[in-house]
Amino acid sequence: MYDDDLAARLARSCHEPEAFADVVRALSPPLHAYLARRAGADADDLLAETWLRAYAARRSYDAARGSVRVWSFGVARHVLLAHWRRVVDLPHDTAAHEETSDPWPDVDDRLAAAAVAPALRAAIADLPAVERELLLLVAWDGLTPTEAAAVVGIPAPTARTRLFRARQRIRERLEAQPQVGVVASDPTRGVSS
Amino acid sequence: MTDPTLDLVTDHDVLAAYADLPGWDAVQASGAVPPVSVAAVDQAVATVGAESSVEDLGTASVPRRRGRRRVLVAASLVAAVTAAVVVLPSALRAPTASAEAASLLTRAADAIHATDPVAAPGQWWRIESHGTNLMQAAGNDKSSPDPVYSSWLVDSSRTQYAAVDGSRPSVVVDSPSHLVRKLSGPASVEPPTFGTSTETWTTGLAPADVPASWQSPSPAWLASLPRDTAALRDRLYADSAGQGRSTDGEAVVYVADLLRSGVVPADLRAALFRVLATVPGVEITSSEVQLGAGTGVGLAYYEATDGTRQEIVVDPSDGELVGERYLAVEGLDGIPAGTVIGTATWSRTLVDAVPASVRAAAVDQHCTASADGGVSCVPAGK
Repeated sequence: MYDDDLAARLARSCHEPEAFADVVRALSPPLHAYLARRAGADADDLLAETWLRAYAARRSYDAARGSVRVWSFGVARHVLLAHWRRVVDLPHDTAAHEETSDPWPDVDDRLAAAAVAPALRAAIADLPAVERELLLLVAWDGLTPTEAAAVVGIPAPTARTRLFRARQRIRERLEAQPQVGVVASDPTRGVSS
Repeated sequence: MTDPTLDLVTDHDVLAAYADLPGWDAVQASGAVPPVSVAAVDQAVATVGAESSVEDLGTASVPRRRGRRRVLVAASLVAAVTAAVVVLPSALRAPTASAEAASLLTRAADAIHATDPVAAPGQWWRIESHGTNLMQAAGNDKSSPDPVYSSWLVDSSRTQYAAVDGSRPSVVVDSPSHLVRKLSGPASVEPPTFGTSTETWTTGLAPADVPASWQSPSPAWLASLPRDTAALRDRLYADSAGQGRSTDGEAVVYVADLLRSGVVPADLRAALFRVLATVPGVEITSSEVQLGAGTGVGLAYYEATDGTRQEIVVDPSDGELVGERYLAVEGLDGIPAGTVIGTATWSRTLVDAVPASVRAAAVDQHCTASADGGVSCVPAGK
């Protein structure tokens, strides 16, 4: 379903709640994948919670600020942040940092399981949280930098700049350790975390 | 590559730069996850549907009787059952009693072709159930006179051997339970104890020797129930009158209790589904509800007195119970609205005997039945 159709269904759901189910069915696959990558087995519950919140907020959707798909990712991100606050024993000074919906240990487990080289993992680990979140929205969820910016709630030029600079820093670190590319391209060599 | 002036960086520039990064393929590949299940999408639709129903009903006017509900939840734990809900777009509205809706329900009930495998009198039904149950505990907080509730989801599995002819005591094997997750309550509150070892037991009472009921049916009692829809409906409402949370809700609970026994003959199951179709508030949620490994027609009832929704899923090809689900449509003692508070899947097969190892492990609970159908037990050593 194209986004124009989704926007039309979403608008219709304000007076015909049944129409919202079409939006749920169309966008649940990418949203569930987004949640599963970051919250594993809790994804099913978080998906339902996301749509519950989205339903409650459906009248506030503004097409000028992005597609329905991007809007739904933004809702899912808030659900994920609340989820992490609930279940993860975050350090008390977390609020002082930039909030992120991908707590690093879980992200790193996923990267390690896919044999991403230690140096690349370390480089990604050192990124500011918001850059890492943008990077993963692009790498994992297939969003464009502009869409990722809307999900995270920052201006698109800012997101593009930060992503570009993040890539430069990662590249510099990898070049300091040339063997890394070899490890990453050899699937027979497991990487212990 | 040369870096463009950052002000002019486009999406394409960024993506091209990353595509060039050694190891980027592996980063992208690390995001691979299994596709969302049909059940998860159904549940999301159901959750929203329940919410839209609540909007229509007006939550402020919903009366509540919390004490009774808690008892019911506890009872369902003992029975190793609970359930929730899935709703289709057509059910994204408050229950109606329109002729059209009733006709749809009746057609759905008629479309369930209940059949039974041919069972010999000496055989046993091996009835397996798996699910998650809600466990709740109340505690007191010095800052408030009201109790503070904590809730957990606990999984459970049970295998029951029930004599086809009801002439011999059933044997039950309860597998160890595990904590699935905490749903509500202070983090410091630990869950109450639950079964962490395999328990094999029998009441020592044959179904035929206990006064029969919807909760404890015997073959003779099942044979005596009417198959005519109106007559069976009258009997159901008469027997469930004065029980539970609401008149119609309790009728649904009684039907679920009976189906869960695993010993209801096909013609009676078919009649029960037609009766369910006449209960005000019962909706067809979907013709293809996926629950565990099974798929079936979903029949759901929203219980306005406590804001929960129960769904019975039936395989239309043979009228067997696929499972049940419960959803907290409203927030429930700190459990967020829209939370699944229980699921159960059921299956049964015919076997010639209770396995010797099961029979040897079975602990007789030394139970006696009273005239009103109550069973009391004095386990050895207690």
